[in-house]
Amino acid sequence: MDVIILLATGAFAAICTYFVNVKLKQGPVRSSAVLSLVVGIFFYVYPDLLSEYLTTNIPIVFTGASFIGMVSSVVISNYFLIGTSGFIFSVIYLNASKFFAGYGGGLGTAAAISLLVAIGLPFVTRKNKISNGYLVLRKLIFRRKKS
Amino acid sequence: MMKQIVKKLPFLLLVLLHVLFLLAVLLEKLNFISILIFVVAALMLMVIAYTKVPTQDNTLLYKDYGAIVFVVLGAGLAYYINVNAGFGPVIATGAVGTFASMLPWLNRNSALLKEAPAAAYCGSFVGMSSPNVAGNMLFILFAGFVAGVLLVFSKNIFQGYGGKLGTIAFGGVALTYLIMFLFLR
Repeated sequence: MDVIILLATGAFAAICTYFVNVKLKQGPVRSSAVLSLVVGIFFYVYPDLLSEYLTTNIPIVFTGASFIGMVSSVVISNYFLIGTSGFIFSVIYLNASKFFAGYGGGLGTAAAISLLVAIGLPFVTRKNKISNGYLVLRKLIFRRKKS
Repeated sequence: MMKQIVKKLPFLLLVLLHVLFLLAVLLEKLNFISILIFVVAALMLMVIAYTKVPTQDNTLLYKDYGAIVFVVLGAGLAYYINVNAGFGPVIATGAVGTFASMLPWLNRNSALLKEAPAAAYCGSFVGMSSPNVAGNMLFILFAGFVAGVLLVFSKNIFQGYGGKLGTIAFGGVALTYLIMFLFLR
């Protein structure tokens, strides 16, 4: 159950931040920072509201996934893809390597990876686009080999 | 030729950081087939996405270098709130980011203050580091400086991509850790 809550938190945070960023025109930094601050303070003031695991992890997942919502509407404007990206972020967070634990920027790196994966998704899932994604990959691999 | 390589270096560095981060997940969980499939699929989709990342050709101006100061300040302040004041990384980065997002209101015509929110927020990610990694404020300030330099030189890539600032902060912390490991052991 805790895992499902964290997966949902990731998707919700990304969508919420994107909404504040683009629709409410608050800009990427303020939308991510204010929402993270509110969630952080909430769990700081009410540490016993949820289990210790969720109280520790929800603010971190929310902050990390909010970095996805900082994306420009020029790059991505589909709420479903942004939510999917937040979901992927949570999956990466739950399986993150202990090697990079405590490294500042780790959440942002996971957010960037999630966003790139979500951007790449339509090229392999959309109808008639399967060959497009495959062709891009093939072009990249074989061009290097030839040269 | 040399100019081309220097131009592509920040892009390659950010890509390397993404790949290293995913490979660390993979190496730790090699026994889990589902994680293996997830990481390989993620890497393939990332490669496709990288080909779609546009690059701009704006020249670096003096005001861009001013961003380094905001990154260092953001890193120091966030680390202080995070560790010294004991509020933790989330409140630290949220507070610094919220404060920094208001800086352009001081002077709407200032090009330097326009850069401040993103730069300080990038620095705040450096300040989210755990004391087990960072050790002291000096490490954070130096990592902030490295991240600031990376931020300036990656001006023309990944514009508008969420997670760019975090990747740069991660690069700053990882490079500083590497430098300390190699030279100050």
